[in-house]
Amino acid sequence: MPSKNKLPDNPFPEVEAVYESFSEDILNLDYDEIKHKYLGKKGLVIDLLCRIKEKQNKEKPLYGKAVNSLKNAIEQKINTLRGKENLQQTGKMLTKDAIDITAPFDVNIPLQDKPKLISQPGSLHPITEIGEKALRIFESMGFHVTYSRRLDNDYNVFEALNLPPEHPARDMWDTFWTQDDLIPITHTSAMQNRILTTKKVPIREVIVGRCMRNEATDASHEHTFYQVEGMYVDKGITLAHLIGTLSAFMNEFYGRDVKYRIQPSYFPFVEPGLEFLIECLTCGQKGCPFCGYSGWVELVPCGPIHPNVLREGGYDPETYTGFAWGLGYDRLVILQSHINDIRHIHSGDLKFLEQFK
Amino acid sequence: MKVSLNWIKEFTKITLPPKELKDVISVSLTEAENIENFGEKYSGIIVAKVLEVQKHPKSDGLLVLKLDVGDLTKTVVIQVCPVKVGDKVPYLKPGTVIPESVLAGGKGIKVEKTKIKEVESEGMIPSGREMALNYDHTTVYTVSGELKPGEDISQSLDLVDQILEIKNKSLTNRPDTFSIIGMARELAAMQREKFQDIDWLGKPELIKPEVPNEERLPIKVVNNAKALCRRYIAVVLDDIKIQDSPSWMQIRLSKHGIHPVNNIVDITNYLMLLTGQPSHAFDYDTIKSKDTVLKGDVTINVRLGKPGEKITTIDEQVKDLYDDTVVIADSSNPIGIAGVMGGKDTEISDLTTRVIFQVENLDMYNVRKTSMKTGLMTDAVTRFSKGLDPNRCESVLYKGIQMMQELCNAKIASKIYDYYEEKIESRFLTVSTDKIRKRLGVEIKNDEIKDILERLGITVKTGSNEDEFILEIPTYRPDLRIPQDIDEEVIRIYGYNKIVPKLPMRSIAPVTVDREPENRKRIRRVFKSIGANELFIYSFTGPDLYNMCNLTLNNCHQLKNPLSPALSYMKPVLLPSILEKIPQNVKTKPELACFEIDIINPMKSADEDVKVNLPAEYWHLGLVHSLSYYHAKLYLDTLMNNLGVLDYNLILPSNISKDKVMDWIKFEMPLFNASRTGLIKVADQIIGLIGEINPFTISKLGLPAHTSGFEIRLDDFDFAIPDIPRYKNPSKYPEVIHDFSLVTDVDVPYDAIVDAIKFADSDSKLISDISCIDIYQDNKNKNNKKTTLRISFQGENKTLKDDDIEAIRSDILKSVKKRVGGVLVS
Repeated sequence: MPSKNKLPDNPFPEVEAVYESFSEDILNLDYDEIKHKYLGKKGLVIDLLCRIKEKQNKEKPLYGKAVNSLKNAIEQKINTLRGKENLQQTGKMLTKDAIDITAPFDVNIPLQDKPKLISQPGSLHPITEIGEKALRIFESMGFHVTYSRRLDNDYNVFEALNLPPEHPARDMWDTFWTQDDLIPITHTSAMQNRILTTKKVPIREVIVGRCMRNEATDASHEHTFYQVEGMYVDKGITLAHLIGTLSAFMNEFYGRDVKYRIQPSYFPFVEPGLEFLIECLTCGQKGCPFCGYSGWVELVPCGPIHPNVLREGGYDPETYTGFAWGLGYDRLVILQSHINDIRHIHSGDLKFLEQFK
Repeated sequence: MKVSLNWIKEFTKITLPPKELKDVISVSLTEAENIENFGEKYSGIIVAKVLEVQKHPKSDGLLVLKLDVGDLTKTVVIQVCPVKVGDKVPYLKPGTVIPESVLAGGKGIKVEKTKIKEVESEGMIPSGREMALNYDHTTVYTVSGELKPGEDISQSLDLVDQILEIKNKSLTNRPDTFSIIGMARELAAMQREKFQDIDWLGKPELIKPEVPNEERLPIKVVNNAKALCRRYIAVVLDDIKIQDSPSWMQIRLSKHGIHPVNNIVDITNYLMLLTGQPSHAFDYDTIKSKDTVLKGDVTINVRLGKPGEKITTIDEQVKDLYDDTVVIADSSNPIGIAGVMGGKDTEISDLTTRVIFQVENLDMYNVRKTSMKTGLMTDAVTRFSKGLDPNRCESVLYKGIQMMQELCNAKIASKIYDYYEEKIESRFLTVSTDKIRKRLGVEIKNDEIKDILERLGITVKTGSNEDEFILEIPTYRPDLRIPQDIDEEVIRIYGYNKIVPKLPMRSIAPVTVDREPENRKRIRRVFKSIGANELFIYSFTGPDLYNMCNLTLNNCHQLKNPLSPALSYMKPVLLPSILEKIPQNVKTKPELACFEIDIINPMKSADEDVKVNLPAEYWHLGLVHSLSYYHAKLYLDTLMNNLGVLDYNLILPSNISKDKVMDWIKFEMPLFNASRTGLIKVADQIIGLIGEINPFTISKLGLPAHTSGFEIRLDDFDFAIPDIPRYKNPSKYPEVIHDFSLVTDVDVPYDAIVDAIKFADSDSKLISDISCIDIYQDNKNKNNKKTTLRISFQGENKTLKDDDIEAIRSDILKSVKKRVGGVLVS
């Protein structure tokens, strides 16, 4: 036996024998197998320990110590092998299951066990499906599609949107912050300034993104949600155009004339600030929990772009006007699929997802 | 915020029924939460006069009252309390519902006729709490005023009312609407009804009190926080008689959720509800007695907090003060947090006879900050933090003095101290009605615009032409600053829903569709068609999951304020989060493939300064298969094939120098079983990695034994995805198929064998397809393997003859022999 596989200061051959066999096995066996064989309830180490009663009394302490140091040595070796560095560099424990990564299947695989594609149809996430449908409509209406960043800075999320530091309206957004003071975007409006500073008029842009707000999740609240921001900037753009655009979208999306209504609201980056509501399609305006028994669903905060936002983006608000909206498209999904618990969206539960084939 | 419509009716008519009113408010101002029928719960309650108070013969804890309830006399047993003969109280006869019991929305508890220790009790006299008018449960509720026994209490006490409710967090930019008078003006405008303003509010001189020549109780007022306290106005009043305020006032407060305290405090609250301007009264004598270093006159010092200073507020909490907290202090110590809450020591008590009554105007941002820092959210904070009009301080002080004179017997004992250096004047704003119409896209006449604006308290004068309006904006509307603000006023009263929707005229130039999202769409379609399921998983992840995945989140973007540790980092790669979703699904679907396409935020590199440049973000694709490596590879092969990516292969990590492997791949590598991992190479670029998950993670997450997956950075892959696969002329000539069984050393990769075959065909181009039929290893000889390939040959412009086939066969075998040491066996 190679001397490096010896346990230091060990006079007991039976202990040595176990260590030798371990040193051999560690090159060949899986983590689970080796652990079971040596450290399991009926493993070789326990077996050695039990044999302490066969020893003479004066030998017992020394024997116990030897078995213990064996146990420690084995544990340490298994654990370091499990650790990242060893796994990556030596990979010795795993060499026996090395495979040809370029082959289409493993050696000696019977025909029926060769890998096959899953025969049942797969599924796309409803947010993808509905998002694509919405985007297709906006594209047909002349909007270019952009995707939002995930992390952004205070300037884009707030300041460029007429929300200077300490503005009390910042309370309207429960904002997450990273250690570097970046923000997982609270709204896709964070892209508005970038669009204004990089695109030329006429600007017709929709921006898709995942937004995050610091609120606890329950059946009807989610910290993660989805928006399609819309922006239109040109000469002669009016509030009536905003309403016309959103109404035309809803009618196309639902394939019929959808009743809408406008309510005043307040968002510092639009003036006036509006909320575009549509009839509750879940209850047909009879009143249900989804619409808060009002018959109307708040779907699109919107309004003419505030002159300060246009100015910050390099456009003279005396010459150019525009409008913007932030459509919550997960709400479209919920509304259309009658999803009663918003937590399904991110559950990763195939029993939910496979319904969207 | 609650708004009593009865109170509103003192200033304008309400013509609409509650439901319609709620709708009109929602479309003209802000969403009305509710209109509550306040009086309903008081039906059947009448006024009773106490005729006799006697101890209960059997119990010291009870009283027996004889009541005049109009035409009859009734006996009621109550708990001992300070009720007197002559008091007027509400009387609930048997069968009447106790008002408090319907608050939670239940049916309510009915009063019953009972015998209490042998004395018959014919009904109930409620406490203030049981009347749902205040929180007092120590004594019976008594009413003041000219009420006759037997009268319906809800009629005489103004309890038949509708209470409108609006969210406190709405209308953040409209301080004026957080008052009865402001709401009345709005409701009048939206109904186009006449509005009767409070004359003294804008003209304090109308109610200016007479100040005696001699100052009996002079005080010293200093303002050391001028930047944050624009106005401070105060007066000393003496001879005050503290008592309960009259029922009408108590009930008004109760309707707005404010519980009555005493006449002085109630007056300050009453005025706050009416005008939106909070005020406060300090006990003059406790200021004087607690001010240990005071020399001479009582001092009021408006200043900033000092480090280490604390105050006990009226609600008996000890609060730290900061160097940006505006406090009202005596000559040494703070006695109140300006705009937030007064101090406990100097609050008005039953013993108070002299008060300092004060009204201030404060910086809205500062009040909000102080409220957040101290955790105190009061009705005053709600109003101050929307930005109040300093010109109202004076009127409210005068009105308060007047009411305290009437209801508290107060006498003016000092001059009126008014600190107001920078006076705010009404602003003038010139607007073009033509531009208003153009921005709104609505044809609305000048006269109508004028009418709407005037109803909102704006003075309108016509300028150089009929479309030019010069507007004088009242100081209580700080939100109206630019012409676009006027657009909103006009259109919301005109009616948003009268706007005729239009579509913008635009050119028919085609819309550009970006490649990247199209590629993502194609990838999704391919996966869906081959049985994979798309997941959406949070962008947040946590250290526990990454530890189990043999990875560490060091240097990844960490949240300062996560919802939980499991959601405390931005995910730097996709696979761990997907793996986490596998165990719950394999129970019902043992063979599954789940994928996600999402943005990731990679770990920060050492030289990166995210404050200067935003960190790069990437689109990734991750797929996990519950079965072995070759399943994941089949999905990858199929994807590449479907996308038309031909120049693609897998290489061992050990066969490439580390500097060619991107950081994110090195980062994710430990997730995989090192001997079953490959790098995905497209053209000359490593775009991702594929492999089986390492055994440690398999056991920690409870994954199927050979769970496998791959992750690709799509930003590095997009270039390789052809828009349309290149066309290849289909051959008209027949195909010839030959099987080759090649024995090689076991270490020769499959790809190398195929490459050797293709090399042989690089000139002749006769091979149309190569597929693998079997890979066999003899148990006895583990050094060799036999790979059986099926190769199809086809001529592009001729039928292949035996000679052609023989030639290519011989080339193939030579190449295989030379390049990979392979030998043909039959």
